[in-house]
Amino acid sequence: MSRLGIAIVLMSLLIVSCGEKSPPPKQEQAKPTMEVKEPPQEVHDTSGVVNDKEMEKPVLPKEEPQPSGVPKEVTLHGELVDLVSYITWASQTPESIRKSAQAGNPIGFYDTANKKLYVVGRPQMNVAANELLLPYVGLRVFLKGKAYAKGKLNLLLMTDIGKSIK
Amino acid sequence: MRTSLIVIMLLSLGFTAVGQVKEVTMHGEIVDVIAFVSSGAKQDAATIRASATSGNPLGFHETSTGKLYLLGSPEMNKSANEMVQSYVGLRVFVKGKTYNRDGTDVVLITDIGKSIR
Repeated sequence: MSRLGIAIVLMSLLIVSCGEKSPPPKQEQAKPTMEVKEPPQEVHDTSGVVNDKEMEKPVLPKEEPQPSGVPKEVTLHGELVDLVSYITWASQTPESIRKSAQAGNPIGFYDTANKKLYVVGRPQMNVAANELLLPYVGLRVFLKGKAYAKGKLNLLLMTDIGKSIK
Repeated sequence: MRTSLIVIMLLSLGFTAVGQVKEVTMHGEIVDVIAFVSSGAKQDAATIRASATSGNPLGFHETSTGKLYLLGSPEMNKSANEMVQSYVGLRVFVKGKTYNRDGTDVVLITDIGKSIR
């Protein structure tokens, strides 16, 4: 390959990588209206009657928690992860997640549909979620509960968990 | 020439894949992540200790930026809670490497102490 060819490949790779990892905006509390929502996968119409004003509203994913910090009842599908390993990009297996959790590290939840990571807690503040989550490590699960958001950090206060068939 | 270009390419790709890892020293306080996010308020030291003892994750609230970090230990199978529990209720400095993925921040603590700043 000629030098020119190598230079072109290098430049294009650098441009792509810069575009993917542009630094996040400094203002953390972005207005909800500025957020780009992904189009919903399914829209369930339960009301039957829709007036004109409702028609104009943008359609949001059904179980997306609001960024304002107002809790929302959700049912999410995804998998359990070791939070610290996930964020530091360390490799993890069900066995390593169990080991880490038994050492006291928090198990998190990755919502595969919305591609969001959640810290998981229980509604009773002094009860840790790890014990309830441990049997479900390595499985596809659903989690029910209240979702909160502070900045970009998501929290789910779990009321139910089970094996997901979705 | 060609080899060095390839090395630069691979290094740049590697760094972007891992994200921005920074060595930092931050000043702030230890919080109970779950209570802090769900109620939006800081808890008193006794409540945070009780929550941490029951297994809930502790976090670090950097006062100058308002950022919340999950805490981790550089040794993966060790919990950070033990390291930081005695500093609950104090203004502390935390040294370590910070990571961010999907908007969530983690600091792998290498040192912690009482802050005089």
